Amino acid sequence: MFRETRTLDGFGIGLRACHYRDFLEHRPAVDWIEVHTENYFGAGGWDLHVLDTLRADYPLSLHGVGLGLGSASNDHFAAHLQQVSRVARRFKPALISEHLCWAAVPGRHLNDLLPMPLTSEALELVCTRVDQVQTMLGRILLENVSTHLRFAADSIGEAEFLDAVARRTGCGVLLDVNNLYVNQCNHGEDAHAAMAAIDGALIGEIHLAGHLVTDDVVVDHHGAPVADVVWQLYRDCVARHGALPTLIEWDTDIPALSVLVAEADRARHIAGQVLAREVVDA
Amino acid sequence: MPDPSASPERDAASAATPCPDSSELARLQARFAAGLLTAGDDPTELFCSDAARSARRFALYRGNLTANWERSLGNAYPVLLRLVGEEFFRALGREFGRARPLTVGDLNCFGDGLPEFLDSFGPVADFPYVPDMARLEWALHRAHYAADMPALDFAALAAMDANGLDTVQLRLRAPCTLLCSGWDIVGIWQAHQVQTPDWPADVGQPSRCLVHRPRWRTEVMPLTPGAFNALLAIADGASLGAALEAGAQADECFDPAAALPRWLEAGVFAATASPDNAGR
Repeated sequence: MFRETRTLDGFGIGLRACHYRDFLEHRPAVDWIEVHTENYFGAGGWDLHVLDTLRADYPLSLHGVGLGLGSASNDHFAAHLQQVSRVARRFKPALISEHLCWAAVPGRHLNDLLPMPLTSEALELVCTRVDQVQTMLGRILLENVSTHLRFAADSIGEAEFLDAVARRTGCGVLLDVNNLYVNQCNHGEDAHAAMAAIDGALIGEIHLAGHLVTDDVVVDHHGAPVADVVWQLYRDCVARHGALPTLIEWDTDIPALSVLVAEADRARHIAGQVLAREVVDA
Repeated sequence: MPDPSASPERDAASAATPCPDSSELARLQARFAAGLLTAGDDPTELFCSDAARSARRFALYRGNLTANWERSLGNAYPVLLRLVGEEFFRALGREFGRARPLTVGDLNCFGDGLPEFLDSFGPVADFPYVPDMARLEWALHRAHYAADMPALDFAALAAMDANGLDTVQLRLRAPCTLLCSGWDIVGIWQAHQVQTPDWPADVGQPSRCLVHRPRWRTEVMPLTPGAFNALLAIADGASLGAALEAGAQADECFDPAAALPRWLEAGVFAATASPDNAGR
């Protein structure tokens, strides 16, 4: 009811408002598009009109940034989920995803992807919430986030946490390869080990984006081309888990649309190389 | 669109098992949030890293929060931003964000209530037109996201003529907001649609306008006192005849024969469901 029968395949880019005109006039050659669900919460207007129009030509992925599945507070959850459901009914996406994070306390939404305490108590909560979401929307993917900090109370690795949520709830995983790299830099967590800790059959989508290296911390700012070291990690990911729908995200200092399309083509080229090599090796 | 309140799926979400406020997770998130809202109150005890590094990194989350407020407010209030300048606007965003918590996970809603906040915000007291300018810009912001609604056209209005147009009751379309101010906010707003604003000669002149969205672009239609009163009467449920009369009373220059076609052309009124499509 909420989903179309087409599944995502190939290489997509995030649709942002500054590229609406280009998309409407040129229909760039990407395999699918992803939008931030919350940008379509309005009752009507230009954003919904554009997505209605492009929806006919591109399979769509809805990527939520405000649900905050891991918020202990229950205040905002039901109302936000209703809104996501409304957008899903209207646009019938091929895929819906959310983040493994929290976002609100009683009486206040903080509008960020805040780092999840990785405890057994949090695991219970996230599983309950994912069950509730999936009752309403069907199967979703849950994405690993980058963080500046880890909690002293943590008792589970993020990849193991995600893998456990997926096994218990039946949801899938959206693996952000850049975030794995950022967390490797920020917390000394081995990105390859994290990649290996997740059952490949659970992964439904890959995210790639640029990051910012500072003296103290690597920031997942989505404001630069994908770094070489992340492309290398992506090669390893394709070699391990095979061909997966892959998205280029760019959210700050957004360049011309052609730059995003070229990044998606680069991902296509790299995945093609890795898979061709495997065929030869076999 | 089915009525969501009638949906059985609603129960699934509202029957959530809450994580009690007394839980470790709730306590930890409350401590984190309190730190975000108070500069210097770094909850370093929560994190693995040493205190200095934790404080530096926690500050990035605090910065995200205020940067999101600032960016969202700038999207909704671009003229206000130019009027008060970036530095002042940033401080306003922080004050407002702390004082009026956003309770939804949609940043496009951030800025609701800013005009009322500005009414009693001391630092703008010397710029008395600022709260009304904020009202104008919030009306534009809301119009951008308002429901699409077919507009009443000439033919449809003519077809309602059976008992004479005077008795017809019209409705404004969803994106429409009527505004009046003791200041020339319309003139100031128009001046700031270009790079180098040419300020109105006298900002102390009252102004009136209709904020609306004919199709996808939002617009500001300046109104004479007569046109404003007539549209206000329509919005309040008066018949067309009574509304036009109210306009003429307010303003002897008001010309209903010119105003009505202009409003219809701009798509100000909602189409009334005809028997043919009433069920859709």
